[in-house]
Amino acid sequence: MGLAIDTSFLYAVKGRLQAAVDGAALGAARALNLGETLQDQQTAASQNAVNWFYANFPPNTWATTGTVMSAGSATNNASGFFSQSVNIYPDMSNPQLDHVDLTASTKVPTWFMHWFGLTSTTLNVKSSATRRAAVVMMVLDRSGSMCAVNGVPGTQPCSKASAGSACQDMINAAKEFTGSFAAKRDYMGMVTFSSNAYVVPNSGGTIGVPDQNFQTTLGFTSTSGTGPGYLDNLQCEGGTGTAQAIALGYQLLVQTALPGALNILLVETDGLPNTMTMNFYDSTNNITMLSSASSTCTDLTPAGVPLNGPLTLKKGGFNKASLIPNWNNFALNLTSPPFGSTNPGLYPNTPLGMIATVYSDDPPASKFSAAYYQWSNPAAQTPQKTAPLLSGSWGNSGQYNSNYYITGAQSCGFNSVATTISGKNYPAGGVSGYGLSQVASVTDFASYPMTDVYGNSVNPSNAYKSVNTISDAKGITRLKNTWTDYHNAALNATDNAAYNARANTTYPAYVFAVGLGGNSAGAPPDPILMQRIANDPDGDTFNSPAQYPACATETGCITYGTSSGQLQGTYVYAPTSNQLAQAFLQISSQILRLNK
Amino acid sequence: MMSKIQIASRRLLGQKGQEFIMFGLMMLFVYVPLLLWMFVMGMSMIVSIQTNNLARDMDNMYIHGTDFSTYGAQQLAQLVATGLDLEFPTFGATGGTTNLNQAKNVGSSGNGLIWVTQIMYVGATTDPLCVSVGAANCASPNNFVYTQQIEFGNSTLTTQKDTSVGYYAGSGITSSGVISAPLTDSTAKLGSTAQTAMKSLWQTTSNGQASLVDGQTVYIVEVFFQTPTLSMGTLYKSPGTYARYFF
Repeated sequence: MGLAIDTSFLYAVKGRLQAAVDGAALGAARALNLGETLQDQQTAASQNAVNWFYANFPPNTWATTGTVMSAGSATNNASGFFSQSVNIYPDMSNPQLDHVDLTASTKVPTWFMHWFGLTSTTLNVKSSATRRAAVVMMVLDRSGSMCAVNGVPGTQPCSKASAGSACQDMINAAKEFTGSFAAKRDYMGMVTFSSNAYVVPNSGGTIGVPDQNFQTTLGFTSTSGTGPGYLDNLQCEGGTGTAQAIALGYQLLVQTALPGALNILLVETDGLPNTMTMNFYDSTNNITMLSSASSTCTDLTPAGVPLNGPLTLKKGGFNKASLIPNWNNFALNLTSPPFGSTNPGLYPNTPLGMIATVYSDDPPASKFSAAYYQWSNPAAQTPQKTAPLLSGSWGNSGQYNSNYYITGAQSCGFNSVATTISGKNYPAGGVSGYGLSQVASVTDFASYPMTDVYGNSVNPSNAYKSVNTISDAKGITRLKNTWTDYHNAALNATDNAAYNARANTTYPAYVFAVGLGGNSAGAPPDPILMQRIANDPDGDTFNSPAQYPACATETGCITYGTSSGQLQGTYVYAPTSNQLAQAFLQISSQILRLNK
Repeated sequence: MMSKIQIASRRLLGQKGQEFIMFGLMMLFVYVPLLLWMFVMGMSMIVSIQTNNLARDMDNMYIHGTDFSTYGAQQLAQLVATGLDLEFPTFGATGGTTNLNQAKNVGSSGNGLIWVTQIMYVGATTDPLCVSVGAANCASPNNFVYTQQIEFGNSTLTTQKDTSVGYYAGSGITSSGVISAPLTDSTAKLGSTAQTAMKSLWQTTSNGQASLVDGQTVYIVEVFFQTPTLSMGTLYKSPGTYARYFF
């Protein structure tokens, strides 16, 4: 009888001790993101283990004595640092997985068996937790609406220095976000977007592939302090080219090539997608999508104008729909590393063509503007040419670098309606015509392609919005040239970009989304689109009262269950920019839970 | 041989029935209470182990992302608590549609009550969390704040045992129990009793511990089960079993 009682008691204590060690192991794994160096992180993990263990199993719990929690074995050297209480080592088959091992022991008194000389029994338990490295690509909206202050449109461009602006709040929140991840252990990169998408180079100077020095590159704020980076230099202005930014972000995420890690896209936006970059030359069918009846597009560039690095622009271009562009040496060079054949991306290589960014007004307005340009491969250019775009000049001069435009062709897309709007400070020789008046119909375009240059479909299966299509002169299906169709197409392309990222079986990504309300009166973030992007079936679980219902109750909302192989992320809506920091915190908290 | 028989006969004559009386008294005052105590202790131990395992398993699920504001997750907890009689109402409806999330799903039947709480330590006004919302807007520097709270089961049991971390008293809580603005909502701060308890547990240097830093989060699951079947009328009132884990 006494043996039964003592054994039962022993079993109960073991359960409690085991739970305490389990909690400590998880607490330790969670603390691996604290600190700027691996040694700091191990120290933090070790300390967290102690904190969590004794919170769950204080000394003398249930009359136990001599409680010890320590590991401190030689395998700690796998991380290079000795630790008294936690053993951290990488997984043999997946280097992106860290194991955290703990052991603990305690002496449990016996109540009956001590009459037979057995006064206590020593219990030993161990526990292990794992932490997967996170590869996070931030996709941040720095469109003009982010300059709003308390919902009132602000002066563009704006920056971190623009007091009270959403741009400032976003930058601070993003720095907090980067600070919540583990430098040297996690990977992070950043794509920002307005009318185009912009990639921040990583610490190695290559194009934006997430790396482990992200806090130094991007900037951060954490309990360890704060550091400056590209985030501090962001300027906000322009349109909202969400689709291409998501696609580019995922492209770079894939190139990190860490399928064993937790691959994550974080998309933040304050409005509706309204801009796409498209190729208006169909090289396969040898036809442009210009209107031969009304287009006056003419490439005025003299032949042989030297461009960036080895590239030279030859005379060519287009002046009628029937003509084929002749930009032989101005290929849109996503075919070269790191975008192309050596590290093949998951999107089709962008073809040589007539590339234009088309911006459409947000509802209820219904006008367009467009800029033609060719985007060459920055990696193939000399550093001095890439520098303005890629190394810190985030204002107009860097944003609309003349090297990326076809000089002289800027008025294409506007026919003769366009007039120059002042206030844009583009570089000399650059795109002086970019800020042209918006027009109700882009008469140069007969239609639009069915994908943007990143391969995002404007009318995918399970499309969010319906679009109208037409057949061109060769009977090929194109997107109809109306504002409504283009607007809906931009939403569809964005949805499709996120779908492609989630549906890839080799590098399936979680997509988390932050929507910021209050900035764009006519076009706040569409909750259905954001739920679709994040593949989040839940309604608003972060605001009270809830701002939107569950996906299943909304017309047009589709999410995919885990049986489909698609990961489910979370959409967090911040009604005002003051709540952006807390929205980012929610996301980082979610991610840090996932990687345990 | 004869002598022994005589002795036995003499005892039987003089002490006939004493063994029965002694045995009866021993049974009444020693063996039966001991057996009952054994039974109660044994059953209490079983329930305690079950309760602890439930709290541990739930906390493990919680920290790995299980959303206990959903009916499915609450049913999962019910499954793990098989035999303990955890009961809660079915989810209500809003606008004719059954709620998908319900942070507080309590009734008055069953023997169990569960609290799932997430608290976060907010550092000084100069620390990142407060800086991110502006020091002037930071409502609870140097304090623990609620970031999520979910409760389900039999709420009448709070008269026997209540949560050790208190309740979020404000209105900024969502249907999934998330506190919308824990940094700027002054009601997100733990009440004084719970605040003191958590600080003494976490913001200490005892046992080699170190104070939590700005932004560190603690995932807490508390479980209480009353055990009326282990009570013996007015003679013994079973206190029930309570388990709490911090992950």
